[in-house]
Amino acid sequence: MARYRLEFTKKGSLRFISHLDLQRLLERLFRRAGLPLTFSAGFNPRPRLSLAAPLPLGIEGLRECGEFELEENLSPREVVGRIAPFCPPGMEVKGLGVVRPEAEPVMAAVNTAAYVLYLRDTGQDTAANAAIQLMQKEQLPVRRKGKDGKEKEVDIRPGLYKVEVKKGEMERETELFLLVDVGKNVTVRPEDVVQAGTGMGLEAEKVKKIVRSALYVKENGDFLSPLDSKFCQEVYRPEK
Amino acid sequence: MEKQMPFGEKLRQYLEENILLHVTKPARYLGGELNAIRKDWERVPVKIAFAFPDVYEVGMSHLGLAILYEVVNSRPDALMERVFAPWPDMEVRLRAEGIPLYSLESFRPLNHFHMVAFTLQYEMNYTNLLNMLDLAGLPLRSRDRKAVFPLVAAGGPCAFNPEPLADFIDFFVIGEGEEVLPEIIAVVKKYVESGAEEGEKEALLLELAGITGVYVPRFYRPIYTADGDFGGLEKLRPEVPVVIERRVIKDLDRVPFPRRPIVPYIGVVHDRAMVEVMRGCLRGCRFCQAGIIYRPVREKDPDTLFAQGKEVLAATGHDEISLVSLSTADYTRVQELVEKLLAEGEKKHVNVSLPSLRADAFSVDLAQKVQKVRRSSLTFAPEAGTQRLRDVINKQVREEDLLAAVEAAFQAGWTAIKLYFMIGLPTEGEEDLDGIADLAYKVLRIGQEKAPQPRRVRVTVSTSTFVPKPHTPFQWEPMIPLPEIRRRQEYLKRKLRHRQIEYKWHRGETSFLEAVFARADRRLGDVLETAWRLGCRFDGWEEHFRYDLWQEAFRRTGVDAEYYACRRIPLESPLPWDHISPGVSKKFLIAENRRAWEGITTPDCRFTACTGCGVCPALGVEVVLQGEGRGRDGALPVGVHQEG
Repeated sequence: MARYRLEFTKKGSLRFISHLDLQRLLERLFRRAGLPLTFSAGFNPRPRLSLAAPLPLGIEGLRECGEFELEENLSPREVVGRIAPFCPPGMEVKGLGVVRPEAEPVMAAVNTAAYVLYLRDTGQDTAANAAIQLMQKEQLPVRRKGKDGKEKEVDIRPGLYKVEVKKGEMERETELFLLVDVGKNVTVRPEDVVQAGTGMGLEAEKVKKIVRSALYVKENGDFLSPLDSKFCQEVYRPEK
Repeated sequence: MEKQMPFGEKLRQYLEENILLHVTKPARYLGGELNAIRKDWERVPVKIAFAFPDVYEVGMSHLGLAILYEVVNSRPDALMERVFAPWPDMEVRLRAEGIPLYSLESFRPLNHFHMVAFTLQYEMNYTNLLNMLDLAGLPLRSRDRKAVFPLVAAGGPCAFNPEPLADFIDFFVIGEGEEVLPEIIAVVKKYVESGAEEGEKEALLLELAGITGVYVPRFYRPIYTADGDFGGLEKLRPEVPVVIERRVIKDLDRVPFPRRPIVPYIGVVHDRAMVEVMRGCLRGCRFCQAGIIYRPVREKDPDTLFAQGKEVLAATGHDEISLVSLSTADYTRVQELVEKLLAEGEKKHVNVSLPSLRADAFSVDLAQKVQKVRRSSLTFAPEAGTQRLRDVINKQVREEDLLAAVEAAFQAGWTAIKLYFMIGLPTEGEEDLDGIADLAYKVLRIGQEKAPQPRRVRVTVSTSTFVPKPHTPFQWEPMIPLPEIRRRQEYLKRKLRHRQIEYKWHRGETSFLEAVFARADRRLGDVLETAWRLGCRFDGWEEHFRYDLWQEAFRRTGVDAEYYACRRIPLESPLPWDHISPGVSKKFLIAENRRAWEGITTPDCRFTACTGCGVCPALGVEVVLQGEGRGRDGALPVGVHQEG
């Protein structure tokens, strides 16, 4: 038996598939690839496969992360070779490593996400100004609809680590880079930041596209890759 | 839809960027699933769109779609793509942007196809069918569609009374599509290759009408009596047949089966691999249309099934395989097949599931084999509350069998039992309703005595309302009127008040409309179109069903809905579906109706002598069994037929 950590993309049409559907897609993928997953013990055995930090529907992920356990001990290179032919369009393996026994499960470990928001008709100065204002505030209350349908107010400031601005590739386009908490405490969604920045120059209608560019493990102020040598060994990154 | 919308990859991109983020479950509209087949459009002469008039998740659970997708796409000269009814939120977007309804493979509008083939699984889908034609930019009425292509076709169980849709559909397919589609494709191909022009539609349809199992309604005209009753159907062309006979496959082992079915990205109603173990059911329940129109029983070879099952699992990665049929516990080699599949699946954590169970200990034993985990509940369908009424409907379940099955289930660890009944069956009286309640309490008592945790025992009673269906022995019987449905439901509600019993019932209005359209003649076409124009869609979905709009549609068209649903039709009256023959003779249906009223049961011909339904001699088929029937009283199947 061996535990593996997988980094992959969820691009194109796959961005319209929910977290739960992706989980099931991966379970079927392993079956077709003939790589038996191990199963949990107990009344209702479930395959040991879990995904970190659910990606909101419609957002592309460039470095999503999951973890699974196989019955066989195979090299990461071999595992990648076996699953790659079964990946649907939009899913590409970026890296795979064997998880160190002492490492926390990926679901608990991954607590930070990087997003890029592509803003149309937004000057770089405007966006930069909004970024500064956001980071200067001590509180950033946003309204969110709870599961019961009622609105409630949440302060996202503690979960907002970084806001940066880059010139976009297109004319009058700006890229807004966010580093936010997606852990147990304050999960910050990109639209929360836009909401908080409304009045500072950000507008929801001008968000052309959102991409989640990476997931991290925040540890003692460092943002580490989930495949960092601290958590994984024998990491294999297939070349494009 | 003036502006020229792009199609293909451009349309797909436009949808992804502008539309899909604003609708629920966008993957419904994306296609591109595992095993979806996209053929080279330019190199295939005949293009067919399979249109399912309900939402994606329902349509993608339908085995018939998977089968025909395989049958057509495995031919080099034809392709089949899919289209489903868009959910109302998507419909709004499509209309607002002028995007015509498109297929999920090529992202092409339906008017690029030669044939749009609807499947009619349920009367409450009819408004969706009209809506899909409209969203495709096609005129609703067959007469108004001047272009030769696309031809609009329809098949499936509801095509056995095609009349309410006769004005909208160019031709109906009666019976099994695998059997007749090749002949239809051949005719269409001829016209495609010769570059058919507008005036040739009539000739093309006439040629199609020459194929056994094809009904072209424009070549027939209904006659009504002075009293406004249906009086018969008049042929308008000498060449077309008086009776359209059902097409049927003789040997199911020899038709293509989908071994690489599409795997949806999103959860659908039945998320599992499927193999069809047999077609047809000969138990002869007198309310059941499927029990007539899929006759006779044709079982598949267990070795073929095992091999196909393994292939489907390998090609899909599903964790469950379902043995599909109208009554899987009746498959003569079910035990052996289940055991082989279980042994194969065990190491891979693949489960086997059986969609329908008989109310007997054998079935519970099977269920126990396949369910290592006692999932939620076990369902039985006694259909009626007393032995007398079960004899009337020919549902051959004895109370002691049911109670023995229930006891076995509780002992095996199930805590919840569901019981399905019908209310409003012919001859039903108060004592039959009491019988439903009594049975529920008996089941509960067994649970309280035998279940390991008696307090956790739950009994759910579900009732639907009897709907008289064409081609059944009960086709002449009235449905009980709406107020009476409500009265009987209220009665049961009072009787079933217990903290461990739950009572569920189907909405009477839906059943009532189902009955109206089940027994409709052509005059219902106007009602349907009016209802659709008033905004009716997804009538089978509680959240979209607008009975008030339906009432308005009947008012505007001056059609009396009760006349269709709630009257007793005299046995000698012509019926609007008399020109469609399922192979079972009307004489047999009349005899069965009489026997029902006398409380006489008719046995299953697999275990006793031929009952004379007429299907085998009429269609040149035979009952196909792979093993010996587990006959009541040890009787073996008899292959000698009485004259029908």
